[in-house]
Formats: sequence, structure tokens, C-alpha cells
Amino acid sequence: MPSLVNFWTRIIDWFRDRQDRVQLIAGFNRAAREAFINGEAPTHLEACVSRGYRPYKHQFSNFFNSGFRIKVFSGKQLSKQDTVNIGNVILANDTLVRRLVVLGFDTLEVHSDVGTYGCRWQLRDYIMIGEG
Amino acid sequence: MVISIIEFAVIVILLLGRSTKHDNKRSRIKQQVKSEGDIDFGNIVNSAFGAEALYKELIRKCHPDRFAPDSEKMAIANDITERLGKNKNDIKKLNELKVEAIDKLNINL
Repeated sequence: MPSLVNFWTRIIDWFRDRQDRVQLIAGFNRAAREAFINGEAPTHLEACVSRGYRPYKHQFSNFFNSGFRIKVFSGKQLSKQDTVNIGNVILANDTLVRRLVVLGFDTLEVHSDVGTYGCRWQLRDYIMIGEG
Repeated sequence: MVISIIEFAVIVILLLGRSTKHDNKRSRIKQQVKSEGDIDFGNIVNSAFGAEALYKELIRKCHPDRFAPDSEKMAIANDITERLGKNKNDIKKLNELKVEAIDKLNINL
């Protein structure tokens, strides 16, 4: 019977995590939209879920869709420096990185709406989790 | 039919009988991280575009060598520069440091 309860808890946790992921992405998109409308940000950023990069998997990773992607609507190809700057700002926020990791993300991707390349980071490299 | 039932039973036993020790640890970490409070997304988005320019300006104006004759100001500049390096991607903290630098170092920004 305890196993059955545990199995049920796991299902509830899965739905709860899914809801938290949606809320996190919606929160980011809301802030980005407001910053763009108020003129604080010169380009519009949009966060979405992507497939992720399989070699970056960790113990919290989702089986599918484990990438946190930020699309920059700049209308031009971003320079590598711009892309890296945006990524570094995300990675510098420890709370956000920890939250992303426990919600099943393992890859951070940043790319513009034009062009064919972007940058990606392994989130596990920026966090100490599951130790101790 | 019998084989199918046996296979189903084995799958159910495997699913239910998994060790819960590992799951408990994971849930504990999840709870801990989720209780860390809200994330300031507005600050993150603003930092993505404004932090680098502000950091460069501050690090140039607050460089300790500019205050070399005054040892007290040099120590303050050292402290501010150190904190600038730690918060170079956080525009809110950089703005706080800017106010502190203007106040304590009498610089013109």
C-alpha cells in the first residue's frame, strides 16, 4: 500500500512540476514583454521549451523537452558576444538556474529569430546540486 | 493470455517497488529550491541589455588607481570594484553600487 501511495505522489509531483515550468516560462515572457513595451529592452525576448541536448542530461532532467530556449526577436543575426551576454545574465542568477534544474531543464539555449546558429550551455555546470 | 497477465504484474511490481530513498532526496531538494522565493524576471531582462554598459562605465570610473593619493578612498574603490566584479550581470545591484560610488567617491557619472 505505501508503494501505491508513493506511485500516486509521483504522478501528482509530475503534474505540479509541469505547472511550475509553465508558470516560470510565463513569468519570464511577461517580464520580457513589459520591458520591451516600456522601452527598457531594445529587443523582445521570448522563453520557450525546446528538446534540449541529450549529453547534458542530469538526475532531474525531463525525458523529453529539457531545454530552456530564449529567442531574441532582433530582426537580425545576433553577434556571438550579444548571445553570450544574454546567456551569462541568465546563468549569473543562481536562483533561476537552480529552479530551472529542479524543474527538469538541462540545457540553456539562446538564439535570434534570424540566422542558423545560437549558443547553448549545460546548466549542470553552473550549479552544485545533489551533493552532500 | 497468462503470459500477458504475468508480464503486466511484473511491470506493476517493478513500478511500485522502486526504491523510494532516491525519490525522497530528490523531492527534498526540489522543495528546498522551490521555497527560495520569487525570481525577479524584470531585473534579468533589463540586465541582459543594460548591465554590460553600466558595468564598463563603473569599473572605469571606480578604478582604485584613480584615487591613489587618498588611501581611504582607494580602499573604498577597492571594495566597490570587487563587488562590481561579483555583480557584473545584475543591473539592480550595479545601480545600487553606482549610487554608493557617487556618494562615497564623489565621482561624476
